[in-house]
Formats: sequence, structure tokens, C-alpha cells
Amino acid sequence: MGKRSTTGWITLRGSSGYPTIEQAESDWFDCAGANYAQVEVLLAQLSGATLTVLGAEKNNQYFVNNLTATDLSSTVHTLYLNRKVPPGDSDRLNDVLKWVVTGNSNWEACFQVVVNLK
Amino acid sequence: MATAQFTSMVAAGGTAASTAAQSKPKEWQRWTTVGGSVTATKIYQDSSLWLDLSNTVAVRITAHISYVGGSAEITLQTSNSPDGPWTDVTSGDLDAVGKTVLAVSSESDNEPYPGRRYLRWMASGGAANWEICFRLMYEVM
Repeated sequence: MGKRSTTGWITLRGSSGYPTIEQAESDWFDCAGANYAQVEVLLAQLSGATLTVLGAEKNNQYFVNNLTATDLSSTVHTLYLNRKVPPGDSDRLNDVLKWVVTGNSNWEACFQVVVNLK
Repeated sequence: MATAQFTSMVAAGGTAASTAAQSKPKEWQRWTTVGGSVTATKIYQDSSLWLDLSNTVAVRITAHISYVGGSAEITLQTSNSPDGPWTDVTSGDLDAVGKTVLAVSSESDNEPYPGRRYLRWMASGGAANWEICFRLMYEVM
């Protein structure tokens, strides 16, 4: 059984004056040392907002998109990330994962990100 | 208040060994959204996250506010005891979208924002169906 981490349910609202909220660096998911990860993104609300899950290697901090969600057409997204996939690919498991939410005027998001390392 | 809650408060400042880390802003309150359906609703920070200023004179609080609806605002409150009474240390200034920086000092009651031992936030609204999304950082001065 691998290590399981979750953000818990997060509700965010933003406005034109504050278009982007990013997970605090101290809360980024540490995936270093793992070869595989199952990432579940659960959406309860996504209105006028885009939720992105990104990964990066610890030594370069260049983030690559693993998932982008813009609406509730799917409320559960499951990703299977693999360390053996070449860098830059959306299926690559990098050292750290984080979430970012962006939106325009009066956007809203309620979500949870769960990471299972294997 | 239970002893466990009392001892789990966030200690701002700390020992000499932690001095080097004091200048870096730390997250005090993660991004959160709170709201109420009537103006009388007031929401207080969980007591396990109150700042304990006993090891420091002053802290710098940075508020990031992404959304304000229904004339909502964040008020910082301070007290010498976790049982209160609690005094507002701002004039309800944390009500605008963007970044706001405040200094809270326990050195003198004459400071613009005098602080006592404990610091917490309270959210309230000036209209029905108020809502505010924010996070708070603190930095020992």
C-alpha cells in the first residue's frame, strides 16, 4: 500500500482583481522517490474557473500540466502518472505536484485532490 | 477551552535556534472561503490556529483576499487569555480584494495595531449572504 495524501475539500472564490490562486508551496505533494501515482481530482463546483494540476522536478521548478479541468462535464478525473514517461509529457510523474485555479470575474471552485503514490 | 487546544496554538517567534526562520513569511491560515446568510453571523478562526505572540514583540500579517461579497470583512482580534475578552486590532480594514499588510505589536497599546498574547481572525458581513475567500501569512518582525 502506498502513501496517500489529500487536500481535503477546498472551496475558493475569486474575482477579476484576484484571478489566480495557487496551492502554497509548503502543501505541494511530494512525489520524489515514487515510480507511479494515481491522482484523483474530485470536482463539486467549477464555475468560470479552470483547475490545473501540474508537476515539476525539484531541481528546475518548470511545471508541466498533468490535468486541466474547465467545467463539471466530469466530476471525477483520475490520472495515472509514471516516472518512466519522458519529462515534459502530461503523464510523467515528477517530484512535486501542485494545484492552481484561475478564473475571470466571480469564479468559484470546490474540489479535492488525492494523490496515491505507489 | 481544552488544554490540548491551548498547547497546539501556533507559536510565533520561538527560541533563538529558530531565529533564522523568523524572517520568512509563514502561512497562518490556508486559503479558505467562509460566509453567512445573515449579517449577525460571525465566524472565528479555529482555536488550534490562533497565533501565540508570547515569544515575539511584533508580527507582520499579510492578507490575500480573492473575493468579497455582501460587504464581508476579516477582523484581527487579540487577547491576553484564550478565554477573552477579545479586542479588535484592526478597524475592519481587511475587506478589499488584493494584498494587505498589517503590523501587529504587543509592545505598546499606543501602536496603531496593538496586540496582546493571542491573535485570531473573525469574519463577518455587512449584508445578507456575505462571503469572503482569503488566506493569511505571518512574519515575525
